[in-house]
Amino acid sequence: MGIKISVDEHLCKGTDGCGLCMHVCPKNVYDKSEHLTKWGVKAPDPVRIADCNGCNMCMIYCPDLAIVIEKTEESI
Amino acid sequence: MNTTHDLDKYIRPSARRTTNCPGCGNGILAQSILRAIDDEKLDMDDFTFVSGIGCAAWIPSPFFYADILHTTHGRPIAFATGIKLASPDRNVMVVSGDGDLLAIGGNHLIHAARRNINMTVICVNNYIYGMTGGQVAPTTPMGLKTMTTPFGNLENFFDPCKLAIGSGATYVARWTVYHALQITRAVKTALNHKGFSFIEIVSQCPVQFGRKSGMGSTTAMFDHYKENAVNISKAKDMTEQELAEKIVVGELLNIEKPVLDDELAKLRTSFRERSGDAED
Amino acid sequence: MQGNVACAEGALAAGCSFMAGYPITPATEVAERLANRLPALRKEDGVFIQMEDEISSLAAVIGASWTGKKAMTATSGPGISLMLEHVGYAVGTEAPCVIVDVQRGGPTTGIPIVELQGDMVQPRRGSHGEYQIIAIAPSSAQDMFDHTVLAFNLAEKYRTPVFLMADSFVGHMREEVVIPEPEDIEVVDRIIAPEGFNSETDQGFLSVDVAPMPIFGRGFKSHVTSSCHTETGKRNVTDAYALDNFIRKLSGKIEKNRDDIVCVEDNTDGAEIAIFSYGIIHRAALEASAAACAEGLNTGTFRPVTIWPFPDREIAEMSKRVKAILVLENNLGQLLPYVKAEASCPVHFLEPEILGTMHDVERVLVKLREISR
Repeated sequence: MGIKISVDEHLCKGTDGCGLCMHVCPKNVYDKSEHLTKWGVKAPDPVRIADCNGCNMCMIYCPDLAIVIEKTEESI
Repeated sequence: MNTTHDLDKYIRPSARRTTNCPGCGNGILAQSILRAIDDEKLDMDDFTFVSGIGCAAWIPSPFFYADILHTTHGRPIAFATGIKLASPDRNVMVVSGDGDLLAIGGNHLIHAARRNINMTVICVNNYIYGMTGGQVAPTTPMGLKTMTTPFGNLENFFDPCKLAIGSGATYVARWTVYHALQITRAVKTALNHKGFSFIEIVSQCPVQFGRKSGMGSTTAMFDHYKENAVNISKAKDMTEQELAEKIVVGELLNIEKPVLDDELAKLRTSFRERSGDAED
Repeated sequence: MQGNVACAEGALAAGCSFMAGYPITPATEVAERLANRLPALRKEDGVFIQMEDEISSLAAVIGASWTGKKAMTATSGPGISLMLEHVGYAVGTEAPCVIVDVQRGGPTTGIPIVELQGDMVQPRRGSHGEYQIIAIAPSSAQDMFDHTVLAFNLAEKYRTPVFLMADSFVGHMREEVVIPEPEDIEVVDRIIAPEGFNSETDQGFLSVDVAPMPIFGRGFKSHVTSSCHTETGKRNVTDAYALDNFIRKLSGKIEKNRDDIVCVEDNTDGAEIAIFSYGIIHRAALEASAAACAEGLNTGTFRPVTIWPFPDREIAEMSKRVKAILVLENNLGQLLPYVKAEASCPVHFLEPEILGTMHDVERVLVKLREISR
């Protein structure tokens, strides 16, 4: 099973003021992004996506519904 | 972004980006409510949402893609009473803040609960008047310095759930936004409950309350809820002292009593069943 | 039939199926009649509820109006003062509703059973902000029936709250009331948004020609807010131009259609002195005018049925034909300044010798003789 994490930078209010996704993630999947979004904030960057267990906590707790977790069947 | 959020269909397209401050707990609640509606496979078009004035009122207005009445300060429950009695087959849900529903709107909460009207009221409690810049609320802890209590709040605060129970509400629950999944379950219960449902949701306001109380950031406040929430099943055996700094969460009341809109329907039916073709 | 009861019957004849109110002398009979009649309504589900106060009464009425029901409340001066915020709400969200004010002695608690025309400017200027309103003044129990029907029709046609400015005499007096057969009563229903209305793009608000109302329960996903909003109901609380549009469209809706709304009874043709009066005082004016004419004083009555929008053009035109206007009001001159502003002839004023009673005919004649010299 593959996991795709999409973070909508148009909706995200930034990991400095918010950061709930990073905070609730049990697997430390996210780092603060290196670049600034158009709003001047740092979105979460799922750098360790391979560690993601698909718990959906980041998606459920994002106050701006900016994160979508998709689980896909991948054949290798 | 091309990827659709599974709750996008419940969100007004022109309002997709919220006006909430970064880290506002209201967004978590918004999502939790929509998940309840989605899980129950309910139709947003069977709902009328009503909200007052304040940050919490912006949870349904304009974010939810459904019929919404955004009212005057303190009065969403009064407007909702008219809507429910005039269209009893619809789900009526009020989402508004602690200042709106408990201060200026307290009287309407008391009487709608007393009438046991079949509606759900979600009282979002951030312990402050956030939208106007951080003034004291009926729920603000004693001693807190706010914009209108610059020397510390001299007033006692009250427990919104106790007020609701005392007024006659028949389903009462409290959760914090740390308890997103439990909120979803509570909203489902409320929607299925026949009678007046009151759910208090403790929600972080990092910008106004967080700064003034020194509770700090979004995540610090979030953790505070996690650490200090005590389920009612445990709390009922704890002393008042032990519960002093705690937030008691869970289902606090769930009973059945005559429901006003049902009683009105019965009265109407009794007239219609009488023989004769009397014209109005 | 008592005036208040006739008012309730007029509401039902117009299609009212929702009343929320709070007891207050001298209006309570309207609520009591509807408490009896509404649950028994057959053609649709009728709802009566006594709310916890007047503020929530008008709120419930507006909520019901947004579900599609014709809704009303009835109160007196103190209740109107409480309701004023929601009057603005009904104006701003364009919610049809009827507000009956059975006026009593004020200011403040005053005397509940005494007649005073004390709230005449409140509908027009009582709620904060800039807005227009419709208000009608009945002078008999028959008017209480007919004008309530008219009030509902205007409310529905123009998607606005409409005031019925009654008073304790008109409300409590018992007179013959003729109730026509339902098929002979003209009833106007609001135009509702069509199926397929899209709240994101289609106009549900702010048309001077009255936008079709996107009521609840039709799947329109209407966003209704009293915040300054655009034609689609989207909030704009940032831009002055949005407020300018909000105000001008809402007020323009009434101003553009004033010729259809304004109704006067002008019997000043050929008169030298016009007697301006409304409500119950109009009946004193009629008597005084007849007595004056009998002694050779050439007078005629001018009665605004519609108080707001104020019949400015009608008064301006009339003032060109007469030598003077005598304004009779049971107050210290609430509509007087508005008459003066429009009239090109001299305007005089006379209140009753004792406020709260009707003008004595002889007192009016003395004044008329004085004016005609």
